[in-house]
Amino acid sequence: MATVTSSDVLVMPPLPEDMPADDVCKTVDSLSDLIRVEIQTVGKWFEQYSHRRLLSVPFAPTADDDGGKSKNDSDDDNSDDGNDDGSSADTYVNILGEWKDQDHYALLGLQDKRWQATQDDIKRAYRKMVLKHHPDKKGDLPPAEMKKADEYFSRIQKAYELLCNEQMRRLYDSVDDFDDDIPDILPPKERKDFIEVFAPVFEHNAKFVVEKPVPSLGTMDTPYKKVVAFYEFWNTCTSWREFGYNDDEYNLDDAECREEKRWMERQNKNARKRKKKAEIARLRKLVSNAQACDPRIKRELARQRKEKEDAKRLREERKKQAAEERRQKRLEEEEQRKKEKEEARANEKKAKEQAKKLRRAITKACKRAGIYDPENPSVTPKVGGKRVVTGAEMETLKSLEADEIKALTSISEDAAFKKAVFAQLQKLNGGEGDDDDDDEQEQEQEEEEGPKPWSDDEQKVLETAIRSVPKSDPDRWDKIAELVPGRTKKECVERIKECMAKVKQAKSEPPAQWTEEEEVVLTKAASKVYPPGTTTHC
Amino acid sequence: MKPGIGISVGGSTAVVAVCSDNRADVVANAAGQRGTPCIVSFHDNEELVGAPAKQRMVRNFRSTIVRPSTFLGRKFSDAATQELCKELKYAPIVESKDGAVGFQIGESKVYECTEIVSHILKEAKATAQTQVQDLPGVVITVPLDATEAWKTDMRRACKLAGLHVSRFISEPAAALMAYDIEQDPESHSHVASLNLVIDVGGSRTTMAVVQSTAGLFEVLDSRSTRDVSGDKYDDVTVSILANEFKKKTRMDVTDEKRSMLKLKTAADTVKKTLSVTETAIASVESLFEGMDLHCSVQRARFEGLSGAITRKFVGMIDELLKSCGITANDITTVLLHGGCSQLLTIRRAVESKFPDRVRTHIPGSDVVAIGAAKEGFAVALRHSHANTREDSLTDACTLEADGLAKAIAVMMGPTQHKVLLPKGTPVPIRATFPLACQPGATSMHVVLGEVDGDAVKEVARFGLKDLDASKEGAAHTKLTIVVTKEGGMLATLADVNNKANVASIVAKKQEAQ
Repeated sequence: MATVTSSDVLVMPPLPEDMPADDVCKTVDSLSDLIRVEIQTVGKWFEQYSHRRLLSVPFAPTADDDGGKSKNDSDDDNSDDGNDDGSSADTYVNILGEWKDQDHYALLGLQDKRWQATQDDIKRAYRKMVLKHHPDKKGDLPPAEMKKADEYFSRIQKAYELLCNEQMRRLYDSVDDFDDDIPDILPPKERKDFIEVFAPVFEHNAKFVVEKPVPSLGTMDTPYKKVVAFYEFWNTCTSWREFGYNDDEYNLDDAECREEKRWMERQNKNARKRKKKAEIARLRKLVSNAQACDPRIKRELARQRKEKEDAKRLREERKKQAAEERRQKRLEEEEQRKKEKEEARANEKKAKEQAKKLRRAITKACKRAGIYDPENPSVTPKVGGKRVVTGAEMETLKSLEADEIKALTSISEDAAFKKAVFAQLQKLNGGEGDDDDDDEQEQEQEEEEGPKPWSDDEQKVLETAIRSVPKSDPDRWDKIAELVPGRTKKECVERIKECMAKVKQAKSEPPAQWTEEEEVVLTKAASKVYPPGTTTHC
Repeated sequence: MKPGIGISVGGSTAVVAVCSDNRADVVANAAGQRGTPCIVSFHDNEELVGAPAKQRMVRNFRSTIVRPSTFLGRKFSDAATQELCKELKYAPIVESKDGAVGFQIGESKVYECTEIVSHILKEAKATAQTQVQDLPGVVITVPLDATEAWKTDMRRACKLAGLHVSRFISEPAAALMAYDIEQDPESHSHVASLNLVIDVGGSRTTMAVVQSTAGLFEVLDSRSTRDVSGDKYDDVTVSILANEFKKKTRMDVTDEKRSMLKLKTAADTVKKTLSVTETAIASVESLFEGMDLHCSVQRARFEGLSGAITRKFVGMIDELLKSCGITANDITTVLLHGGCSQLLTIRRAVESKFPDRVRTHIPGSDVVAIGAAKEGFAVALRHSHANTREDSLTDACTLEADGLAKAIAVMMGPTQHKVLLPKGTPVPIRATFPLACQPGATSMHVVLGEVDGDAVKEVARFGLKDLDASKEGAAHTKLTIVVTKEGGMLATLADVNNKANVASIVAKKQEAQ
């Protein structure tokens, strides 16, 4: 405090005798304007000065100035002692009426803390009040005042006694300064104010909740999980609120006899139970009301519904799509089949045509080579994979010009046919053909180089087979092959050709070169296979 | 109640003081010294602070840093820095990042100035913690001419050292606190007291005239110089010793850095001894090429050679007083502090100028730290009251306030007046003065006026009758003057014996009328 006190006594001149009364006290001029000064931030006087400046607290009167306080400076001289000490003598709490009706907290100066005051707070506040209001401290007072002070002090004691007793304090807190109202379910229009309406009520009611900490209602953006947890808490929480402070139906003191008193007690007890029940119901109602109009729950429900619908829609869509796909597939397959059929038919036709063409070409070639026998056109090789050119026919082909063969092969796209023809040609011409077919030719050669040697038994079977199948049969060689077990058609044909070649050789060459045995076998075979009268000769 | 901790990091020494229960004392450091030399040295990755560093200084001067705090708030490129670089022949001073001053240690390591200061502060912190385990906010003293950059750097250094600064206060203010000037009855009197605070440090001298009104200090003017300092006196002593050595051995040591450092250490001792005794003996072993120095120095010789410095010092005081428009007689108290204030020649010069008004009973180097600790205690005291608000005063050493433009005086007679509230008194203020009436009279006439030089302008007047003037010599009335924040004045004259007998007047601010 920038207060200056001087111990030096200054001696002042007396008032001039002749001074007019008006002139004695007057303001002549005002002070000059203030200037800026820089003060050092040190010292306890400075601390007080800066504090005063910061808080803009006006000056406090010093004790010895109190008498000199005049009306004029009362504006400046508001006490700042008042700040330190909430209730001075003039802030007596109104204590009219029964002691039970008094505000116990206010009497102890705890009106700001109320039910949140700790026992320590209460004790402290009580001691402070005792120091202040103890009758011994009051000194000389007129009797009426004294009585009032005594009464006030006893009230403070009563308040302390009550608040010290946990049971009684609970009863008092249960009714002290509490608004039982709960908001109704809000109409949809007002639900945007939900938080503003319900949050204070929940906060207010949290006073009685035993379980701590009490969750808060949150904001509109509180996650749904928390909202659920909040309602869960409030639906299961217990209240410590008890009834019986000053609101009993019957005053026990009114009882005229013991029985009546007991009856009254019972009645009161039942009434308390009822009230407690009602209180719980009230709390639950509050929660259900809030739940009913909580826009967050509504939002969440809508969200869930939407999710479900979305999922359903998605599922249906998927089903539809799958069905559609299946149908499409079936259609495609059908088409494919049709196409394949057509293709097959076309191919067959083409093959037939090609075969025809080839036949014609071969016939032509045969004609040119002079081996054509118009009477027995069946001798002309049948192509198209059904019949392979026999060795005899191939002899005729041997004389064909190379380009003619090429032309011949080019007209047919039938790979099997081509292969067969080329194999034959290869054999006949001693290896001349398309480079592309080299591999195939090699393979063929390998096959031909290493055929399984024919055993005597097989040879016999073959011979019988040839004999049993008539020559006119178009599938003659197939049938023969079938009759010879373990041999293919090709092998059979090959074998026969070999035998025939041997027979021919035997006929053209001197028999000396042949062994007796061979001679016998060959002749036998030749005569058996090709009975005289056939156009084919060895 | 928390104790107050004050730390002063001067040019050459750092001192820590603790104040509890309004009693402040300096805390000795681990080496048992009251002041820690502001020297940091690095040796084989080991860092030494204070006395150990000082001991190694001679052997290890390339990696020793002295007076790091003088570089706080300076850029490397500043002219002053360059000048200092030439003066200090220790670790090379280089430019650190952002143009700050740095010290090169070894080949490549560069320490920033704040980092070095923080090492010293850490040492101070450790010293304080021997007394107070749980350190509250500390009060740091700041040179009067410290720039904002200085404070910023200091704050950073404090942060590095892990200190919480509760307030920065200026050194003269700390000195006034240390001597309890604000609590003097004199300083509360109706006349402002003018105090001269002189700090003679190791590297510079600062002096300031501080007006104290109602416990609030205002620095009217100040002077600072590097020409008068402990170093300068050391230089004189060193030259005496070097001459002695030359005389004896015909060898010149002035070019040999290491020898000069040894001489300087010896000179410091000689200088201090000469303040106490007439002669001082200096002895340095193996000063130069194995030769020892052993000689005695007479005080007269020292004073004769250092006379120029002392004269400069006195001249500076005169200049300061002149610029304030006051004479030596107006000064109520002279506070002499700083590491070199013990020097007899300085003390004599001041005492001859201000007889009986010089206070030196606190050791010169401790004064500022003690003042800071007391301030720390005052701050703690204030914050212990529940209803105080944290203010933003920590950074500034001064607070701008409104003050009276002219002194308020009461007329003692037709021509005499007595100043009640001096010019520059910060407002709001409330002042009470006891008044008596003349013997035999029962009435009193009080005329208040503003004093401007010799002219007095009447502001208000009032009188009181029917006084009981039987008790002679005692106060009959109390005059209370309140000047509000806006500049309005309220004066009340009250009879001490009769509460009903009151007269009061109000002089509002001009605009309000």
